[in-house]
Amino acid sequence: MNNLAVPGSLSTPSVAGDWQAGVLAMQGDSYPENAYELYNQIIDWIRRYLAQAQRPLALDLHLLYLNTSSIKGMLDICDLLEAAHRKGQPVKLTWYYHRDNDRIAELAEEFKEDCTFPFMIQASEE
Amino acid sequence: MAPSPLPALRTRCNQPPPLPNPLLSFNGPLSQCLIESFGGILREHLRAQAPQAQAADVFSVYVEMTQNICHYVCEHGLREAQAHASLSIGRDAQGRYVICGGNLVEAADGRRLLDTLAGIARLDRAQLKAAYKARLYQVRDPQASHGAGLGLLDIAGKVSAPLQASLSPQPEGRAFFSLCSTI
Repeated sequence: MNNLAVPGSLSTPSVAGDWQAGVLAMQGDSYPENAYELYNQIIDWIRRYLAQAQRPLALDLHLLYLNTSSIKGMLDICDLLEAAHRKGQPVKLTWYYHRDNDRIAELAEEFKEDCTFPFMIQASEE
Repeated sequence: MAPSPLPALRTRCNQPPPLPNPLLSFNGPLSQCLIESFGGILREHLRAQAPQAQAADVFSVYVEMTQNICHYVCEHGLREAQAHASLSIGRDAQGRYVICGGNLVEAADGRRLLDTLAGIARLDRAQLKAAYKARLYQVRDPQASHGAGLGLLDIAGKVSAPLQASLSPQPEGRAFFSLCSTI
């Protein structure tokens, strides 16, 4: 199986990478004890997918809070997507946030500033 | 049978607290598990009491401060009483949240922390943001030590009053480092 599944906890987002569908989804809070360990798993999966699948990749993020170590990990993910985009591989990222959570919307905007691939920030009611 | 410790605890807790509205105090070994549990209590309180943006900033500062302490304790292999952290969260007379965290450090590390914080205190908002971004891109090596730098810059960007840091000397070349953030 080429799918990635990390169960979520209070401080770890649940992560689901669907190789067939070309979708990686993350949901929840991200302030694990060891953010590098978590983000390296995700980065490895994305790197393998981009190298082997030769298909579009979509990231769906439903993240509520990221500590600074997680922000660094997310920055590395954005770098990977940016490099793929520049090589012509279709990638996109959608960051969903609750409409009351201004701080996470601001954070998403900051990530978006440095990216040229399709990067959507979508408010939701739920 | 040993006498009950509760009367003494009650007397101590009933003394006028340093913050008019104390919310949570802790002294002991801090772990990721406790950070999550206290974080849950803090969030529950904030949900009912604070506007969303302030609540998010308080939670974020709380996590960075407590994880900084945990990383320090872990990296230095501290045990028992030396690994104990002190944490106090409450509201001041103006209703602002005050988060104080402290732990035992090597005196030299404590002085370095104070220097770092003095440098951060001289930055205005724009410089702070630029320093945070620069540091974010700089510390990308997964093997690199966590370092408190990025967390401190992040905290400094969220506080509504200057950070209050202090160092009190302790035996054996150590010092108790304490940091208070007001949001």
